[in-house]
Amino acid sequence: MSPVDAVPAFEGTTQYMSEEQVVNDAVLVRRVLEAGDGGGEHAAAFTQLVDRHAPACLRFATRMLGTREDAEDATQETLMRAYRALHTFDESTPFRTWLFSILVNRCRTAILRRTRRERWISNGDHFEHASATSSPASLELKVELGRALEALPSDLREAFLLKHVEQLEYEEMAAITGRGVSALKMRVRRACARLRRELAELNHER
Amino acid sequence: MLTRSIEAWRTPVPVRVAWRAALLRDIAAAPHLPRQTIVRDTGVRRVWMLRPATALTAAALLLVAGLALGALLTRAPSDMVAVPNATPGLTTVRFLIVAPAARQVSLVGDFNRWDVNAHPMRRSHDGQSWLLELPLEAGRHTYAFVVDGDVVRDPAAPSVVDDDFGVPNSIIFVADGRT
Repeated sequence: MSPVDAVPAFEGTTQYMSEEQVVNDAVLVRRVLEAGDGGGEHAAAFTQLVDRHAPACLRFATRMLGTREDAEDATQETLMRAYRALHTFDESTPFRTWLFSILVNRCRTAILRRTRRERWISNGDHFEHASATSSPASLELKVELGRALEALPSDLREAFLLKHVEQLEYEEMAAITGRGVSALKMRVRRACARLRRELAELNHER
Repeated sequence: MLTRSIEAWRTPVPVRVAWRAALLRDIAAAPHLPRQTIVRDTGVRRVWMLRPATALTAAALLLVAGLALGALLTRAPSDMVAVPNATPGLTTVRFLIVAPAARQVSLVGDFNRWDVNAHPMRRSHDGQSWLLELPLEAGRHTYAFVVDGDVVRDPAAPSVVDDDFGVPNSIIFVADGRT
């Protein structure tokens, strides 16, 4: 069994997939739905989907919402809803697109419900785990970067994260967000302009 | 500076072992999925398995739904109108939402797989509302409006708890050629 794709699944463990195990998402969805009721087979198939997509979901939600706690809540709700609505999944759509459309709406709802903006980065906790070797100075920088991201309106932040952090194409972003490609391009452009200004100010202060 | 920042933001956020375990426990404990038989050539067929407990629950829900439908009929929401329809088995329902400032409105629901591009709505003559007439099969349907990218429920319709898109969905009962 040769490792084809290293998928860091969770802390302290690295999971490798052999060529035989590399199956596309649609096949996994079918396995979940075709498995017998109550058996471990459908749960095992969905576990693979979780391990494959949870990291990206968690990263987007963390950058979008600002705290690990909120990001984990949003990601968990997304995956649970995806599991319950799996029978509605259309194979002509990439699973990631479908999953992210749920995630984006969960994040939007979380932002609407948020009442205290100070819940955003208080100690950069969502950056702490990014690198075990981060120095205090680099951690402080990362907190400042987080604040620059926080300064963006949520619609600009959403478009920016999908484009430049999740590295999606505009067509997929349009399918996820329900916005037009032109509108998304405009939002990304505005987000980049604002971030450059924020980061230039931070750099000047340092 | 922005490029380096983007690299920093792309740093993976590790998945906590405890969080993953809790999620998978919740999934394992979740109600069984509807069975689905996928037929590649002709599309998707759904095969529903009805257990006694589920049947009892369904009967209770039908009773409640019947009472709710009776209440709906007496209320006759003005923004949902049954339009005489020539196609047997289908009832054309007119959906309306007041959104004068909106640039784009579409109707999403279980009847179009929540596809935001499937049923765009048209602006009314006075420009204050958005309209769509859609033939629907008899039964219970959940739906929502997408107003300039935001999913909103119908303020004049009952709502349901299951909200796959972050907001409660609206519900409509279509029965025997009238709503």
